[in-house]
Amino acid sequence: MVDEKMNLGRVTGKDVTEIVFRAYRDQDVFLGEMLIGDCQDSDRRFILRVINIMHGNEASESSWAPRTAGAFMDGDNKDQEYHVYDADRRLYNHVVCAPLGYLMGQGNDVQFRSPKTIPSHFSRVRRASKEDYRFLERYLGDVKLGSLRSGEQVIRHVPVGVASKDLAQHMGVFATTGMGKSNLMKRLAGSVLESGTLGLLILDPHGEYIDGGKEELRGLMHHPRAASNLETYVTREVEGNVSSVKISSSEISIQDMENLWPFSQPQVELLNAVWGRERDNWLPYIVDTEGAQIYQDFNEQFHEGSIGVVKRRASVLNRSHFITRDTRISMTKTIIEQLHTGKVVLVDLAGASETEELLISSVLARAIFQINQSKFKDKKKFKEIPICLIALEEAQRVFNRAWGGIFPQIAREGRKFKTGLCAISQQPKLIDNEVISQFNTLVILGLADRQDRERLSSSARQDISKLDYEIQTLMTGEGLITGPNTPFALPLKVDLYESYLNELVTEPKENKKPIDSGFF
Amino acid sequence: MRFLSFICLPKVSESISFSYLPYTLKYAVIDFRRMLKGLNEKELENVVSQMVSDMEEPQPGSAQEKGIIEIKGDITESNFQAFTKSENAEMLAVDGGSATILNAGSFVVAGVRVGHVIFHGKEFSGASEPDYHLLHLASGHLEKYYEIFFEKIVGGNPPDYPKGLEEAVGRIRALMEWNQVEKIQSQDIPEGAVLAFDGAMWAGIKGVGDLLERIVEQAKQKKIILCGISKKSMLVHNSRPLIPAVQMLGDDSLPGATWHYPLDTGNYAEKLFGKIYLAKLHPRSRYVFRVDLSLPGGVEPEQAFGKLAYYADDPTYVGYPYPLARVHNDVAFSRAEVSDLKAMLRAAALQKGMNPKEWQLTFQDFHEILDTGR
Ligand SMILES: Nc1ncnc2c1ncn2[C@@H]1O[C@H](COP(=O)(O)OP(=O)(O)O)[C@@H](O)[C@H]1O
Ligand SMILES: [Mg+2]
Repeated sequence: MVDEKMNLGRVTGKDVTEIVFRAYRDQDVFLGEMLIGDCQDSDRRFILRVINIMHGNEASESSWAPRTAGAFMDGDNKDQEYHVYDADRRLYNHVVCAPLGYLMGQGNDVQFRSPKTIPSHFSRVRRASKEDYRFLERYLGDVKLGSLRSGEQVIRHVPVGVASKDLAQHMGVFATTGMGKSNLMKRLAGSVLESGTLGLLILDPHGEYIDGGKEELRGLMHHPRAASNLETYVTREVEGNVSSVKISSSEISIQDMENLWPFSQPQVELLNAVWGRERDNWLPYIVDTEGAQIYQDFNEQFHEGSIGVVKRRASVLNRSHFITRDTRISMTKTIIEQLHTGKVVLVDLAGASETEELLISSVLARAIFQINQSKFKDKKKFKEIPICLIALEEAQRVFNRAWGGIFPQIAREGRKFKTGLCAISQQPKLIDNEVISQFNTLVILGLADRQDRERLSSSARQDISKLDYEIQTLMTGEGLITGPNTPFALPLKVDLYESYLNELVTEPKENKKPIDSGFF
Repeated sequence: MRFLSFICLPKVSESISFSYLPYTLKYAVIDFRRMLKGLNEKELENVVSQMVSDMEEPQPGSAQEKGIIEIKGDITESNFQAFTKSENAEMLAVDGGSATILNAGSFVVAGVRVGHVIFHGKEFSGASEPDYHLLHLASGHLEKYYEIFFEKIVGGNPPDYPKGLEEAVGRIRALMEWNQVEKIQSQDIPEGAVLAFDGAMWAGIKGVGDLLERIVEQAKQKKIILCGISKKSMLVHNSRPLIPAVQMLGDDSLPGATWHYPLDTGNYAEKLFGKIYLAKLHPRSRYVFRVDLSLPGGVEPEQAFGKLAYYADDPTYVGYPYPLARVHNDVAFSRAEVSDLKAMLRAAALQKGMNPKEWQLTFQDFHEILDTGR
């Protein structure tokens, strides 16, 4: 006997890329829903994702529906009613699905296969059961973000996240403003606070992570594990157990300067010459030394104009409250140690100018990358450190080209050195294609812009081109995850951070040790 | 009703093998809704056996009996009678379908299927398993075949015989339809329900008068409204088609209304078992139908038409009671079904020893070639 609530219809046809079934007229089916097509000739259970829904009818003439609508309209005008008899027989919905793959076997032996064949004719299509979702367990990722989603429905008993072991291969979080990127990052940080699986550095230009930024929102400081596992650095007055952001001028590189301003060829040559001579002292040297003296020091090689430009820009940095010449005061070393013990480090940059913010971010990212790189030579030490994930809002600013700057470099080389990036952006179309293709885990929330979606679909691990319409229609907090090990783009509903906190307080979870198995 | 036991014609061999049945069943799987449903395999077996052994010269058939009725009197506005749609109704609808599955010239294999549907209010509430027969009709034993059906349904010997294969199929189908009406009438039907069938309520076949009388009487007793609705009418007035003339006048004199128009059938009355009307069952209907009514005592024609109109509001079949459309579609043979049946019969015949070439030469039809070029 067929369970009527689960039974949706029968397959009518199509091909390996698309399966169409006839659905009962009165059964609600939604875009993005995951359904099961039970092959009638084998034990394959096809996982079908709804990508379109259309009207269908049994009339042999294509003009039947418009003519019938015409009759109804005519009746409306003349106050006459019509009645479609046997409506459940004559009318139905055509549901177009993208086959995600199929399952074979039962229980623990269940296997997932990519969709290389089709279900038999007239296979029955039904809603997925708890049992059907079991195979997903091994793909769901240990850094929880929310629950599996089937269309609009949230499947609470199947938690979904990203896999920490894949995060050295970088991740991207993309969504139109307001669709839930920051909430997702808070939720991700919450998981890391709970587990300590990663060293997570969050660079927060808007100051919204620490306390939520708004009355009704909560921040990382409200997390029950904040006291032990959260370290916060601020650029403004904030109450609580926080430290001030300070970097040393010696940590700033010529490359950082180049990323902040455009320099002409002679200006770049001057900067490099100063660095060659002064090394870590290059910035104080430029700031403190008279232009004429610099002119002399470099044998009159550089034009006064170039020296003037370089000096002016260097003094902008020198004036910053967050830059000190005292190398002992720098926070960089401490932050890296904290990351290496699996902590969440929040750097609140709301009090910094955009120039300062980008500079501080670059300095920290480079320091992490270089230290991890140096540890790599000592296998034993390297094995002890967790993957460090650097989360960066408005990432399109540093990823608009594939070369130049520390961030593109980490995107290319970081995976080897346990240095991962989490790029957050509302405009992936501004991010260089080559960079995006380095992001092996993508979390895609609602994206209204077609070009943004196209940029992602050309570089995602799984084919998401068929999901274009679904991505357009995602509601706040709804998303898709693609990763190196996900069997297909996993639909998820991200937990609202505030609700997650509430649930966490009611049922506290055990802390887990940092996990590092299987990195090599 | 089943005819299987007595369709045992002279040339059927005694040792019938069912070895081809799995093959048949395999074909049956192809069927979507109803192929072979209601058909007995033994009957199928007989048909195949006859096909294989029976190859005779064709005999010319004759034209089917025509039912042209000349209507008396003038068509006048005052005869139109408006009525209103009733609030609720119950209807049983009967119809039959037939198709020539194979045609060898000298014989045909035809499928005949009759069924009914029941509607309570606007809802479909049930259908019969169809009365379904595969007929092997050869000019040589047409009479025998017809006698069997006639005897079983009407009783006694037929006063005349069909002249030709097509007419035989038509008569057998008509008898089966009447038989279906009689059968369901004997079931539990609420008073005031409409029992509608496709066609006229007249004795188009010699000798069926008794049967019709039985049916009409029983309907009256059970207070059932018996009604035949003709999709095509043979009514004429001054030798010209009647319906268009009445329809033009009706649309003019009662625009936007439902109406009926009683007809004076004069001296045809002895062949008729109800009164004939023309009726427009929906204000927006483009069709006016001939309706033959036999009413139980105390029921006015307007009440009966109100109930027919209740079902005539499907936007696809405006002006025609939906249950009749439904049963028509249920019993009709689709082209796909006919070709599946053809393939099934061929497989069965070859299994029984028929040579594929012989099959091809027997049933080939140049029309098929002509059609491919259309
Ligand atoms: N997963 C979610 N579930 C429910 N509501 C959410 C979710 N994510 C975000 N929201 C709502 O949307 C608002 C904006 O989310 P936010 O994360 O700030 O978006 P973004 O960073 O993409 O601009 C939040 O304040 C919250 O009210
Ligand atoms: Mg945000």
